[in-house]
Amino acid sequence: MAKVMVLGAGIAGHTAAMTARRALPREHEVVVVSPKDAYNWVPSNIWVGVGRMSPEEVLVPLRPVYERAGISFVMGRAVELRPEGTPASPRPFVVVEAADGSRREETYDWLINATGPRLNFGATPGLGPDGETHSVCTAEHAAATARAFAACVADLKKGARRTLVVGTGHGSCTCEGAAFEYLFNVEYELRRLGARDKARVVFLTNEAALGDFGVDGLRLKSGGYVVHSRTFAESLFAERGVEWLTGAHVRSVRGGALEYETLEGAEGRLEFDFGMLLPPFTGVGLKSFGRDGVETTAELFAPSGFMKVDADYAPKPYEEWAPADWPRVYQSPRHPNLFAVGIAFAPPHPISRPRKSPSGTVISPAPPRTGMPSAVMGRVVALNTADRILGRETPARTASMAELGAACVASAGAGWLSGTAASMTMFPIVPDYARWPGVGRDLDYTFGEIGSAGHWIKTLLHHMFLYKARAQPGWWLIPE
Amino acid sequence: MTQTPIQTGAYASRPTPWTAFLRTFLPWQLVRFAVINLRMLRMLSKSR
Repeated sequence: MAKVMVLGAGIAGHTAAMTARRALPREHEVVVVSPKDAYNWVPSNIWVGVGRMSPEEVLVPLRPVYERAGISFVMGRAVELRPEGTPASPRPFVVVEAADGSRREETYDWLINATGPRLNFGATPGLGPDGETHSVCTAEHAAATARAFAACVADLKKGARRTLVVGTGHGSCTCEGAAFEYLFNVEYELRRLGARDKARVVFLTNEAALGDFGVDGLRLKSGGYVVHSRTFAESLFAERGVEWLTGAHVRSVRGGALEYETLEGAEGRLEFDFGMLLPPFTGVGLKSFGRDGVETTAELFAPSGFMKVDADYAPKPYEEWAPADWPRVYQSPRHPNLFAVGIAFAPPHPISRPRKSPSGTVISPAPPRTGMPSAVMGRVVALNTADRILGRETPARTASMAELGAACVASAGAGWLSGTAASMTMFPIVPDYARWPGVGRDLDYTFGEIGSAGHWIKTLLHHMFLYKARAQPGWWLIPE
Repeated sequence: MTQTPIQTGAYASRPTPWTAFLRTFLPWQLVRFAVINLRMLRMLSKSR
């Protein structure tokens, strides 16, 4: 009998646990360790953040799902990894800390680390729900953001002028697509509620150009040209009357204003009344120890706190980055029974070209690894683990972001007939400029367009993925 | 302190009225709904 442990119950972890459970006979145990007992369909948090949805509509309580599926659930935060056990017991284990601070040891045979990120609001003084800005990173944050947005709308309707700023709160943020979506939902709601004329809406981003999205942008066929996504993104901003500031790092937020520096070396101050700025991510702070108790965190984890896997982490200039740098099976090079998927794995380098300001501040998006690719990684690693447990000699399935495509639907307003969304696909996620010179991706599989159809697809995906998360009949037929 | 001007889209492309109209024109969007779904499924099949 083998015991598969999954750390985290987000998109990657929940997918991994459900897939492993379905692939393994019941004599094998599947255990999920998570500090939260609800699954959050994060892509819909942007609708919670403007008051279009309640937090309950994007959350799925996990205990009944796991009880029905036959998965054990341990509520707590993994704080220590002991992949070699101790001198007294060679079986590997994880130290789990409960909400009351008590600790317990949970043994495993196979471990899938899907702990996701720590929201590092502390990187920018004054950033985040404990400071002066809001967030849509969790359903709770998004609900609080919706209340602040409603208050702002009320002021606007009374005739006050207000400045709303949305974007990234640090030069090394990721998930610019989520900030983009929230921005255009805010702008859409302001118009719908008759409060747009007195509102100044500003987008502040660490992307060097709009439409970069942390993936170096997309090149799309349009009107006989191959056009960068920047053109379409700027068009949408101009059409909606949204101002923007690119290549910006927020240094601090205080007294109702943020101070920033840019890639050009300029510095500025922007006063605002409502702000939703995403934080940068780090690993969750897991520490690892060898059998003798000596700390091995620096060997197992990158300095960012994300876990090293089968990627090429040798530092190299942008011109030498290659698709082969990216991991394929997400296995720790030190421990063959240890994997990391989703945000928890350490990427070998960014996808967008790295940039610094003249003062040396890194202002460059970190690579996105959420949503669809995250779930695909979880499924592939779970199936490979099941194969090894069952003694199958099949070749390992792979899920390199340099070989995977991604579909992304970015909402720009949530109305059935007046709402729109930008629907995009790209193949592959990590561009390969040697194979597709100048464009980096296969133009037959990379496209984007905006319209109501995109909004319908995003709504459909919301319901499909919540159905899947609840493990309703036939859930496995829904692709990641 | 050098102040960076916040951009307002003076040089940005803009959709023609016809393009903007089609984005929410129900019959056209029903067609696009089918087309986008097929293109996404095609991309998914290539990824596997």
